[in-house]
Amino acid sequence: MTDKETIEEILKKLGQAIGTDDSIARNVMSRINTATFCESDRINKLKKKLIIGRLLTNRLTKFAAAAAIVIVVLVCIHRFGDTIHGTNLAFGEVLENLARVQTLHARLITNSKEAEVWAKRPNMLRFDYTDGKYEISNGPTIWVVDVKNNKATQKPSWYYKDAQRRGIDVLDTLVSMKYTDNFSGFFSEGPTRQIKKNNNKLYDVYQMKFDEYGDRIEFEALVDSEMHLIESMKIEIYEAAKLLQSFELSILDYDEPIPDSMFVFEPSEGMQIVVKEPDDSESMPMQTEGSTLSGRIIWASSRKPVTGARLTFWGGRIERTPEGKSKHKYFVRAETNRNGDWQITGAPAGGISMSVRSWEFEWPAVPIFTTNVDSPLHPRIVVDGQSEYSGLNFKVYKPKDLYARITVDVTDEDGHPIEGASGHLQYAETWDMHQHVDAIPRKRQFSGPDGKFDNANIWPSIRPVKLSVGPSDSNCPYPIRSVFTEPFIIQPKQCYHFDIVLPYKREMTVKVVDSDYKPLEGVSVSILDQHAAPFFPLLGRDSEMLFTDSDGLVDVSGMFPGEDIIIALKRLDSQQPYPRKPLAFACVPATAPLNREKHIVEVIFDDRPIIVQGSLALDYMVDSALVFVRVTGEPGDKSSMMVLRTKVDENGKFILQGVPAGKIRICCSYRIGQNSRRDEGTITTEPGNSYTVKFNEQGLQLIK
Amino acid sequence: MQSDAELVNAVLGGDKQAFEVLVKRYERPARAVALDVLGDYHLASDVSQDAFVTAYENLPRLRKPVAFGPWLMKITRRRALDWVRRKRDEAPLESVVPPTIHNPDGQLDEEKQWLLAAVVKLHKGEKQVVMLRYFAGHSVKDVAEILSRSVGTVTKQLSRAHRRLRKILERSEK
Repeated sequence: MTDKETIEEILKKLGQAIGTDDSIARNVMSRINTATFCESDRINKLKKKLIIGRLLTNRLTKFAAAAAIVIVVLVCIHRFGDTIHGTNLAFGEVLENLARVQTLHARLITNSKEAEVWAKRPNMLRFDYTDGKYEISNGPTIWVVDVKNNKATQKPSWYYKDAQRRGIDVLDTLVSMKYTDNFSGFFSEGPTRQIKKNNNKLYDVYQMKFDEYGDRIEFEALVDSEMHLIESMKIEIYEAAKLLQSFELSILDYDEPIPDSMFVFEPSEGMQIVVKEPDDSESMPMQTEGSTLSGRIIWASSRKPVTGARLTFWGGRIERTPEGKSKHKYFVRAETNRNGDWQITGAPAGGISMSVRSWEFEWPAVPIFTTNVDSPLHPRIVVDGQSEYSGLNFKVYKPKDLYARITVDVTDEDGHPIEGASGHLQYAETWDMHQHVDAIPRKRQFSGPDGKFDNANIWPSIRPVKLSVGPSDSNCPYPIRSVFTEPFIIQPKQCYHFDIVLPYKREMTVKVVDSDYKPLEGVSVSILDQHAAPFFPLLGRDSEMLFTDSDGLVDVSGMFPGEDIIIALKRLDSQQPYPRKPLAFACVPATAPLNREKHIVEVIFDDRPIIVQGSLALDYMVDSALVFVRVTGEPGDKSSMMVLRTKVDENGKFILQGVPAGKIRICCSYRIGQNSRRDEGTITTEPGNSYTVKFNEQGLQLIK
Repeated sequence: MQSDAELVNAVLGGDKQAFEVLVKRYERPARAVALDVLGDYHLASDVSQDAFVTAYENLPRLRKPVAFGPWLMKITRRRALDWVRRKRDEAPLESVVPPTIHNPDGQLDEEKQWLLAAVVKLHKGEKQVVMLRYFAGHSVKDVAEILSRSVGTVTKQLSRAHRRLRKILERSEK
C-alpha cells in the first residue's frame, strides 16, 4: 500500500463494489414530480433584518442615509439633466449593428493587464500587451510571442474556437458576452439613461447588475447615441464586495484601414519556435454516405434570408473519445449562403438534433422550425440514412415578434387571491417541461399577494401544452398538487389568460375494520391518486406514516373535491428496519368528498397475508432484475406507479410479501447486456393465499 | 458536460429533468456517504433517495450552486445519522447497523470498508473529486467541468487525496 497505483486500484474497486442503483434516479424523479421548492422565508427575513438592522440602528445612520440620498439625487439632476430621447435601441440591436463593422481598434484592460487590440474580419485579431508580449490570432492559428525571451509559440486559436462555436467572427468576441439567462433578457432592454461626455457627444448608458453563482456581476456599456456603436464597456465581478475580475474595453476607432500584415507573424532570427499541434478530437468528421438535409432560414417579420447563420447537427451512435468524453459519431456544421439556404450530407439513420445560431440573432431571437420537427427549443428529426430531406425551413423571430404572454389569476374557492403559487407549462402528452412561468420574469418565481402571474417571455409551442399551477408550501390549506388547464398550443405574440382556482384540501376520516366490523389498530393508511402515486402523507417517509388508533380511525387530507383515490392499507412488520415491508396490503378505491365537511369512510381490511413467489426462467443471462406490483392501469401503462417491489436473487427467484388483494399487474424489468427489458402479466389474488408464478419467454405464467 | 452550477440553475429555472442529471451524477457518491454511516446497501439507497428529495425541495436555499455536491453529501450524512439516531432510540445500535457493509455481490472486505471511512473523512473538496472520479467513474477532465475547476486543480486535489489516503492506510497496517 505504498504507491499511488495501489490506492487508485483500490478506490476503483471500491467504486465497483458500491455499484450503481438505477432505481434511485427513477424514484427520485417520480417523487419530485409532486414536490415543490421550499420558500426560503427564513433566509429572506434574515437578510432583510440584517440590512435594515445595519442601516437603521441609530438616528445618526438614519440622518446619514437621508443626506446621502439627497446628494445622489442632486448630482443626478446636475449631471444627467437631459431626458432620454432618440431611438433607444435594445442592447441586442446595438450588437447587431456591430456585425456591419469591418475593423475595430481598442484598448483592453483585463484584471489590470493592459493591451492594445486590433480586429479585422474575417477572424483576425491582435493583442499587444504593455509588457512586450503579443498575440496574433489569424483563422484557426494563434502565435503567442514573448519578445523579451525571444520565444514564439504557435497553437490552435482559442479565440477562433470560441467564435466558431458561437457562429460569430473573432471581432465580435471582443464585445460579446456569455449567453446566459441573465444576459439574454438584458439584450432586449434599452438604455437606462443618457450622458454627455467632455466632447459634448451624447451617449446611451446600458447597465445591468445581477448575481450569478453567488458572485455579483456589474455591467455597463456606453453607446454612441447617433451611430449606435459601443464606445466603451466595463464588466466587474465581485465576490462579497471584493473585486474578483474586471474587464474594460475602450474603442479607439471603428473601420480604420488595418493592413493584413498586422496579423501575420514573422519570426526574427534566432527566435525559439514552439509548435503545439491541434487536438484531433475537435475535428469534425465529414460523411460521404447517408441522408441529405437542406432548408432555408428567413426572418419571420421581413421574410428576408438570414445569411451566415451557423447550424450544428448531431446524432447517430454515441462514442467515447480517448479522453473519456461522450460524443455523437455524427457531428457536422453548416452555414447559410446569401439566400439563407443550407445543406448537409451524410446524416446516419436515426434522430438528428440540430441547433442554429448566428451573430445576427445571438440575442434572444429564436429560430422556429416551420416544418416536420418536434420542438422549437430542441429541434430533432428522424431520417432513414438514405433519402433526401429538403424544406427544413426556419423562421427567426425577434423577441417582440416571438414571445407570447401568459397571465394567470390564482384564487381559492372563495375568490381570494393565493400567494406563493408556482406555474409550469408541460407538454400534454409526454408531461415533460416546456417552460417555467414566473410571476414576474427574472424577479419572482411565485405569485405575490395579488395571486397574479404575468410572464411576457413565453416561448411558442408546436405540441399542445398544459399550464399547471400549484401551491409551494406544504402547510397551505390547498392540496400540494397541481391544477391543470386544458391543452393548448402557444402561438407567437399571443396573450393567454387563465383563472385558476385552487380548491381547499378535502379531508376525511378513514375507519379501518376487519371482516367482523371490529376496529383495527396500527394499520398504516396512505392516500394514492388514480395512478397510485402517493400524496398523503406527502413523502411517505417512515417518520410521517399514519396509523389507525384503537378505534381504527385516522384523519387524511390533501384530496381534490370529488376525485378518485385509492386508500392504501398496510399491516407492517414492526421488526423490520426502514422502509418497513408490509405483511398484508389492500388498495381500496374511494372518492374524495365534494364538500368541505369531514366524512367518515369505513373500509374493511382483510389482513390475511398474500404471498407471491416466482422465478425467472429465461434462455439468457439477465442483470439487475426487479419485480414490482402495480394496481392501476392497463397492461403496458407506465404512468401507473409501483406499490411493491423486490429484487430477484442470483438464482432467479423472488418473493413478494404483503401483496394487495384483487387484480394486480406483476412486472419484471431486467437488463440484457446494455438493453433493458420489461415483461408483465396480470393475476387476481385473494387474502390468505399464496401464488407461484414464472416469467418465461411467453411472459408471466401462473403455476398455482 | 454541464457543470453542477449550470444544472442547479436550470432546475431552479423550472427544468426538473436537469435534476435527473444531478441525481445520476451523485447517486454513487451519496450512497457511499450513507453507506459509511449505515453499513447497509439497501438502507443507504433509501436514505440517499430521501436526501435527493430534500435537496430538491431546498434547492432555492443553496447560496452557491457550485457547492451542490458537498451540500448534498452533508444532507445525506445528516439524514443517515438521523436514521441511526431514530433507530437507536428504539433498539440497541448493534442490532440496527450490521457490522459489515453489504452490497449486491456480497460484502465489502475490511480494507475497502476502512478506505470508504477514510474517503468520507477527507476534506470536502478532495472528497468530492475522489467520489466523482472513482465512484461515479468520471474522467479528470469531466470532473473539472462538473465542478467548474481547472484540470490542474482537480489533479492536484486527487494527488493530495491519494497521499492522505495512503498515509491513513499505512497507519492502519502498522
